[in-house]
Amino acid sequence: MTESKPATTVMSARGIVNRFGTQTVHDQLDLDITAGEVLGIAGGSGSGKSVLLRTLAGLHQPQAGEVLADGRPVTSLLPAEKAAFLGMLFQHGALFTSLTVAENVELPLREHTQLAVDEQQALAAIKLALAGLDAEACAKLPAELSGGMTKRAALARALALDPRVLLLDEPTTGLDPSAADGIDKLIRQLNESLGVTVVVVTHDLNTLFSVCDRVAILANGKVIVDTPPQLLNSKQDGVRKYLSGSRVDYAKAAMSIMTKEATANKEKRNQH
Amino acid sequence: MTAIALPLPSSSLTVTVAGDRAVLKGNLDVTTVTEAKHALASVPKQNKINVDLSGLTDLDTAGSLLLCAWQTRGFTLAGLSDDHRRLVDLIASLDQTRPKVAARTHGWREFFIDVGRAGTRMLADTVEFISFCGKAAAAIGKLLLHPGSLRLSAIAHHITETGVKALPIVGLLAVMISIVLAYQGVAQLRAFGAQDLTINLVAISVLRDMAVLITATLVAGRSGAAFAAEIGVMQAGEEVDAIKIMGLDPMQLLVVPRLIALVITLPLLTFFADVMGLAGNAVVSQVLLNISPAQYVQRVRVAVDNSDMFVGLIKAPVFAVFIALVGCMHGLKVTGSAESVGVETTRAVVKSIFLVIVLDALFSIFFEKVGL
Repeated sequence: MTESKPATTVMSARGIVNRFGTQTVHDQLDLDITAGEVLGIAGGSGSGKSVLLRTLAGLHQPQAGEVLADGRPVTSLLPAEKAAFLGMLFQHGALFTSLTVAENVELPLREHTQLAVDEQQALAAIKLALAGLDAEACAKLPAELSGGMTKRAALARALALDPRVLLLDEPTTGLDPSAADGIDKLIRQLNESLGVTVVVVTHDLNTLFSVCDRVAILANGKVIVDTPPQLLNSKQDGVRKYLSGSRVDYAKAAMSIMTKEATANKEKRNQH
Repeated sequence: MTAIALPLPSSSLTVTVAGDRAVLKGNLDVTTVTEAKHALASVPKQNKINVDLSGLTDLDTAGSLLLCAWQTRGFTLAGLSDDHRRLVDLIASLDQTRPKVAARTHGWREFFIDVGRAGTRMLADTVEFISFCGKAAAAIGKLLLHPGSLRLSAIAHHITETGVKALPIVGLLAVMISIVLAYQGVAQLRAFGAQDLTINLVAISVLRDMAVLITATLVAGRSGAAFAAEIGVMQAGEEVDAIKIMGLDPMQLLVVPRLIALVITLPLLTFFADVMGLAGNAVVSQVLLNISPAQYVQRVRVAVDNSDMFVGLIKAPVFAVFIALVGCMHGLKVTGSAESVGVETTRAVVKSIFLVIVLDALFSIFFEKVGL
């Protein structure tokens, strides 16, 4: 979180309408993404989370409305500008199967920058190290990676050009708890160290409550955006419908424990 | 390497070097890092420069990498903001070496290695195909013991797909081939005044060889590929494993119906190609040789023996067995990825066309020896 800087809007969606057949998924949806935040997007299956993310990325043309990236329509950005502005992690990684992991990360650098080859390689190696992959994994082909490593490699590729906004599509889905935990920590770490704004679509309550600064819940074609604790206490219909059941109770309990620990740690630090 | 796509929107950076001091102002990012590097590249090795970075507005990882390099050279980085300092420290703590990929062997050695690999693979493939044929035979044997488990609806479906839907293209190709043969025949035989024998030439070669060869090649490309791709997608999506876990046999369920369907359709398609080829020949005879259809039928009756058609048709079910088995085998060889569906489909088509032509050659020798 960048409390020191004034909150500026880095991306915003204005009046997005998406219809598939007779089904209206987004109905005049507005969403502002603040620079430096981690914004979660959640909602039931079929509520249009992924479509919203693809709309933000400019991969999907909405029936009405527009997405502004730094005040300009995302569709009007030149390809290279867009590559420098946003990076995307696709749900299944979408790593190029014929290239090694390291080559996957080097590809955008090779195409878009004028760096020397050894500089490209060093930069790619850094991105992979940031994503938590060791040298051995970098020489592998995507098919030889485990699920968690695939996500990390794809994340490193999304980071290749130091984008200002990182769009993540279900980064922890299909991972075991410890791998998912690792990805959660990584998102937080990247956000803090690189200052990258992160938009993450997820079903994972842990990610929503422990990583995100704000969460946007999709309901009835609109979004309800608030901080996780506020949402948990919210009385709004759409939010209550999504955030109910035993899983949410567990997440709530875990969160209260974590906040207690955090305050305890803070007190300890203050005593020193 | 220079950028192929549009260059990134560049940001501005000013570098001023004066004696032992360098001042950087503006954005040090991936677009300006080369510029900054060059500006300080001319500094002699022993000089230690004091780099003033208080005017730096933006710093990304590429810029941090350069700052790290300067730091290791002994430059002093002054005036870095806390945020930037943290980033530089983070980058400095990471491993910057690219993993070494094992060097490839080059030149003439590679050629021999490839030949050797191809040889062992061919051997393995042959063994595999023979064992697959064995499994298919066992499945057919089981079916004969329990005829009730014959999946008629699946067979009917595959007959439609591989047979009925292939009729137009098979017919068209048969006509075309007979036209090609007829034109060549007339051109060559006219020199001897024997151009009327073109009818015999075309009729016999269509019935004995061309019809079945063209049909089998087409079916190998069309249905062999379809078998490999259909089963391959099921294999990739773990559907084949689901079949096994339910206690069912993929051979019974997937391979046998396709095999039976193709053994039924390929002879029928060949017969259809025979008819169309002869019809094409009739048209060409009318046009080139002025022989009326009635005369044409008369001549064909004299020229062609029953055995000619039999020789052509008997090959069709044999080809069908090979095409179906090769297609299904490669479909079942697919591993998890979508990429391997493409690889196996290609292999199935190449191998089945190859086998069809080799078998046809063997048949020709065989029929010659037995005098048919």
